Amino acid sequence: MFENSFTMQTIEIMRRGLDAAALRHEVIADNLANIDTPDFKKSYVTFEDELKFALSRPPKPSFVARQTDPRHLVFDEPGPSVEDVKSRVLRQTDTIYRKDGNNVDIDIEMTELAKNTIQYDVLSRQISTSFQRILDTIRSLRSA
Amino acid sequence: MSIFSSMDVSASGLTAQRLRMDVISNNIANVDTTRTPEGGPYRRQRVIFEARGYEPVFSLPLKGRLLDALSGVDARPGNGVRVSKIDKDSSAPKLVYNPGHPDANEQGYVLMPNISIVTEMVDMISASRSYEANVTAVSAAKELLASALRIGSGGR
Repeated sequence: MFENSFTMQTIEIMRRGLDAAALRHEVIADNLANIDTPDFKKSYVTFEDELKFALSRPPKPSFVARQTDPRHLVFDEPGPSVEDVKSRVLRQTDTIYRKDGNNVDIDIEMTELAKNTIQYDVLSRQISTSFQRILDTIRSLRSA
Repeated sequence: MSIFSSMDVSASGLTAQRLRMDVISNNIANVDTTRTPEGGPYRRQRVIFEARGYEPVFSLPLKGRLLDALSGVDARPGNGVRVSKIDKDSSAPKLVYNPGHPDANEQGYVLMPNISIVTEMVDMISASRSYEANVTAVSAAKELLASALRIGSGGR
């Protein structure tokens, strides 16, 4: 009865954002450990852009074209569903930063590390606030 | 894989950079060493780094992950770094004219180690900076874990 409420769905999305940030930290740590390894190519994590795209397109189009034949055009392609969005680790293979083939840029990685740490903190605080709101609602009902 | 294991990954970076510093220090200390047990002047040493748990993109099809290779998807973070060996630099020793030196040859030249202090100092600065970057990564991991532990305790 509770699991499909708007708040719980929002918390679920934020939790997946937390998972993505945790994965991103693992990847940044590996990039930094290998900052001087010859021929090492850095990895990065994608999640937020795909989530933004999934949230911007409704899974069911609001205005459906009538198709009597599979070759008829549709008006609006349905977007990916939010549940299907996954965080992925991708390897950046097409750049070289140094002569030894390594492409880890310390400034980029350190900046990403700082951003990611803040993002993790923000998401965990938002989740806490959402839970707190539920608890406040329950408490206010109890004292009524 | 977890934030805890990312601390091990960062630790491997710390160990590798520290070993690199030790090798650099050894090179600097031996910049004038003309006699070694194996004969000849001291030869410059350097560390060879190797990534652990690293799958080169061209190995993915061999593991049955052709689509991963084509789309650039790696799917797994690596496992840090290790020093695979400590190599001896194979470039020739320097010839320095110093007829008074006990190790001078008949022409008065001494074979000196192939070490440039400037190169070693620059390497040392790089190792030091990389070490600090890994320290920052460990601190960030601790911050992430602290944030996670605060979930549900009132948002503060």
